[in-house]
Amino acid sequence: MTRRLLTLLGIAVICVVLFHSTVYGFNSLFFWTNRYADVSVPNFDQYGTPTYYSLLFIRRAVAFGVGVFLFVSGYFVAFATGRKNETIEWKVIWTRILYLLIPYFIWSTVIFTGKALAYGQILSPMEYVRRFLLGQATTAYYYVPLICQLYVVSRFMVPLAKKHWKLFLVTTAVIQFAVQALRYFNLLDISNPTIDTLIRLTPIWFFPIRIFWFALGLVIGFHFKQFKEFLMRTRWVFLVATILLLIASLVEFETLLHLTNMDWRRVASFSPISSTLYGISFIFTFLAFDKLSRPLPAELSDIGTKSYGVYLLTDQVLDLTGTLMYRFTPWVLGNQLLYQIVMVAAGLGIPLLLMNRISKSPARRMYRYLFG
Amino acid sequence: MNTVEILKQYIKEELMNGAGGDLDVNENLLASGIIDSLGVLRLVSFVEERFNIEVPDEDVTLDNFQSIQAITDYLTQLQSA
Repeated sequence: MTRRLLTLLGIAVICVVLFHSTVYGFNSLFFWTNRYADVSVPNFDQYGTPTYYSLLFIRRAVAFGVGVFLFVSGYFVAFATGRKNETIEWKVIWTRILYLLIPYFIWSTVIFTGKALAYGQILSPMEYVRRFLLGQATTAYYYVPLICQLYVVSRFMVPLAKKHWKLFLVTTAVIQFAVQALRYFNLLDISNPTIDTLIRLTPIWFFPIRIFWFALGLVIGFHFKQFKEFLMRTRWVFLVATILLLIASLVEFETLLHLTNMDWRRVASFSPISSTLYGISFIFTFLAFDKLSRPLPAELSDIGTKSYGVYLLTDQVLDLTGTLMYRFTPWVLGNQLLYQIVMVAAGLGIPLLLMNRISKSPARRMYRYLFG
Repeated sequence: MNTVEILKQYIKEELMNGAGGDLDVNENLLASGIIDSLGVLRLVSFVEERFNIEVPDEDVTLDNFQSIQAITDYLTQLQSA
């Protein structure tokens, strides 16, 4: 299974690129339509077309990338703790956090500098500090403060994951799903002072919102034998569940879209519970069918080894590629298949190429500081 | 090259990208930040491929992979079993 985790990470990072790329796809369908057709925007003429449903299917099917990263991190903490120790050493935690923060700090600085040069966006020193601490250099960066918090909290989670794992799993599942469930009220404009306060107290960069993914990896790492036996008994159930939950997440998305009077942007950025359950089921299914041969395992594993670097770079590369195409080749926006191919190729290919070039250049000693 | 040298070379070249000085065989690879979650997975994959063995999931533990010496001892034990 260990080797399969590397392949799973490779799949997860491709999913992250695809997930972000579909945002540009939907923008081109509804909000940038005037760039390739004589219409005013927003224009929802393409809602309900095969192109729309293809994009929606991809977006929902790949919505587990960050979950996989957290799951593998939890598994790593279990490994790093060992069987004899009561909990993980602070030294291991701080070292891990340091090597996550150095590349994050470098690329956040590059992004802030780029925005200052390109758009004249210069902020106060305190605002830069705030954005850095909350992972707001770019939308995807919330993940870094989130995982750092989980590493710190893991020191206290490990004893529970070892000794009371069932209660621990149930508790973390309740916390995460409760925090996710609160967002339904917000999305559906059901206002309540208590709910509004709870939502404000649990932002996307705060660990309770994703705690179950990490806890699951942690528990499985400590109770691997039981988990493997459980998976072997239930793998067909999880295969069927994965398919059904994917369908459920598509239906849920469409239902929410109608309940919010087609407020597409709000619904698209919403993380539904069905999607989380689908992601967990997908991981279990992937790990359970371990004898099944899959295409390109070596290539996927190789991409998996570069997952953090790709994650840090892909958002900016997509932003740049999307902007250039919007300005100079707007006709591509009307050809969704070509548009998605270019976006995904750039979002994945450019970070990989950059990492590859640096790993083979005299600057390779800096590789870890740049890409983790 | 013996097992220790093979492991040292892989860790220095691939996991540390040529950075750092000589590696002590007893150095804790995790605490010193030489390997992380990805590093562990890469190291297990490398050991399997290079020494043509299969590392059972139950054996991917801190005791077996926390230092070059630990990995060497584990491989010796696995090959003699």
